[in-house]
Amino acid sequence: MKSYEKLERVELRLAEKLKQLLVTCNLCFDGSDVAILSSCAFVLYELRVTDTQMPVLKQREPPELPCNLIVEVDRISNLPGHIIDKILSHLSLRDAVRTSILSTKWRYKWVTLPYLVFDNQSVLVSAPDQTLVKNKLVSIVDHVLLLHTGPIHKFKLSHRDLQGVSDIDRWILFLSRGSVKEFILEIWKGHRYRLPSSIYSCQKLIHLELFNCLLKPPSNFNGFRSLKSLDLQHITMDQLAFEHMISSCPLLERLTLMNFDGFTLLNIHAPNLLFFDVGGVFEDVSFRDTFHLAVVSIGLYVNTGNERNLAFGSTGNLIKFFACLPHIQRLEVQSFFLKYLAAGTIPGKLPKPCVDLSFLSIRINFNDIEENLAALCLLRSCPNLQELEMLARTEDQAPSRAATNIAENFQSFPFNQLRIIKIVGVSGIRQELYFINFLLANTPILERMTVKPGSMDGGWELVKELLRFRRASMHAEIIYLDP
Amino acid sequence: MAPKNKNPNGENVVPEVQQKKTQALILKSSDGEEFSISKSAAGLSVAIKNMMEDDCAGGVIPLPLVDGGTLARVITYLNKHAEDGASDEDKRKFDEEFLSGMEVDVLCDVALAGNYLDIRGLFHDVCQRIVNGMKNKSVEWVRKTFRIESDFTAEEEEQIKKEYAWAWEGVDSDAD
Repeated sequence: MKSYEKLERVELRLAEKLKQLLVTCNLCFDGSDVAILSSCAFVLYELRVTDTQMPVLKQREPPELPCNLIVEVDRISNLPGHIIDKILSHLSLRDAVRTSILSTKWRYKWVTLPYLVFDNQSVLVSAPDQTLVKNKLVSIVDHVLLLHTGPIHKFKLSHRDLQGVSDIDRWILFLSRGSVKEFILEIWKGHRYRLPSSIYSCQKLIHLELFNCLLKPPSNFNGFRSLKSLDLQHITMDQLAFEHMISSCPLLERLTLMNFDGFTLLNIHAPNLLFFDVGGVFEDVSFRDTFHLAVVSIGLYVNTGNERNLAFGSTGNLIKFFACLPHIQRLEVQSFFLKYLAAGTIPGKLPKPCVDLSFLSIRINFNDIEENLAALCLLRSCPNLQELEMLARTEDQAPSRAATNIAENFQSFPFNQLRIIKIVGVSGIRQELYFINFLLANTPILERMTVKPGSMDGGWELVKELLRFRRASMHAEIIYLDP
Repeated sequence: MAPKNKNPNGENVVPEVQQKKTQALILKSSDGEEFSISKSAAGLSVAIKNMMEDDCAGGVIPLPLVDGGTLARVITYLNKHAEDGASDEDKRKFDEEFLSGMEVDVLCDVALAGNYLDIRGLFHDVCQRIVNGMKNKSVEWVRKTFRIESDFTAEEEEQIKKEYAWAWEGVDSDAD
């Protein structure tokens, strides 16, 4: 019989399987008698073959027999709990909860899920009015937390129908007694939700993300000692609380701040910070001990105007800003932040060049002479730049006073690494052309310059000028995009 | 019915890397099969990488929790992902094909191995693949696909549906 021949090869493996089976079935097994094992394996193998050939026979078999196990009906239900948890964590909460109906084994598999996400996808709620929706949502979260057992590593609450209700206090208190590592709370509408003081005792937190919240840490708050990533958007916090929070999270690596109020000075003291993304209205930014900071994106959402700039000391914001950023690799200067940098003295270049900076993006008003000079200072301080983006910001203001003679500021400067340049929103004014000319003439390995004007007006003139400029790179292509 | 532990390409799979003179090591499965694999491919498994760093067993790494058939599959995966010329797109296509042909039992084996050997990409993809068989599917469908035998009475099922009514909200009862 053919299956006998096959058997020779599979025998050992079957024996191995059998051994496992006997162990799982809690049967006593010596383990030394290979011959018996092989025979058992042989019988089992035969049974398996006949199993498929003779369905009548199958019906006579009691279901508890190992032969049923060996064809491994239902492997998945018997996977270890931590693997099931990981598989189920790929499902939304509602899908995971629905597995409870599969069989008694699955009845409570989902209750150990370490990641709990309540958002619009994982919890669908429909009800005729807002109050009912809210009540339903609250009872769902309560229900899930009541049934849940084991550690909760991640808790995310971000449902468009949930306002900052006091029930959240209760959930946070519950989480604070466990070991939550990741906490995300996004209040989509309504007033800022005032976080309860229990949030500040979640000392296992690694990632904290808050949207539309009011933070008032208690006076004895000693920081989040494990926190590596903090994302605060649309939040209110006072100046001292903000500074204290940043400086007392010693492991903080990533900080995102968008649209905040209550504080106007961004005093960042974070020795391990690598990534800083900020956008909002603020008066000043200063870094202390941020020597590892590598990626910075900073947008000032209000035009500080020229008058205020004079108030700053003679050091100048450019020098001040870069003093604590010796290893910066990527920098995005957004909205009106270049205006801020241009305040005070603008040196020809920074005292210490940003040797690691490979990507620079600048939002600039080409009509503003100070901004032009600040941009030039930045460029001359980045000898190893590989990619540059200049995005024109148009403002309804007359060309500033001495827009005439900045041509002399464009002395040659070698950008020996610069390969890709993008210039967007230009209108063909003189200062823009100075920059384009300057960049083309000083980039020996440039591969591509993309120019996209802000409008159709004067496009043809711009193209004519672009064609004229000498290029240091033989391989550079210039791509002119329609607005 | 072929024995489950067969290698996907027939017996005695010899990974291509064996022919190359690159630094290789031997992985030994629970059932004693030995596979040669380049160090760079093996290093994609965090667990094997740690074992290599500890320099255990002089070039032969025993993997008592992975059978030969599964190990052969895992090695195919690792070799592809360590291939020099393979673009991300190539790998993505490979991953898709690699998993699409697998039966539930095999997926479970590969999931266990991926977790044990700490191959994050593989483990993630396998979990995703398993879950795709559950998402937006009817209970009957899921039971059939995974050969899960229900031991609930109709009454008990109703009770569960009632208890977690919110999880069934908006579910098309005939979805499959």
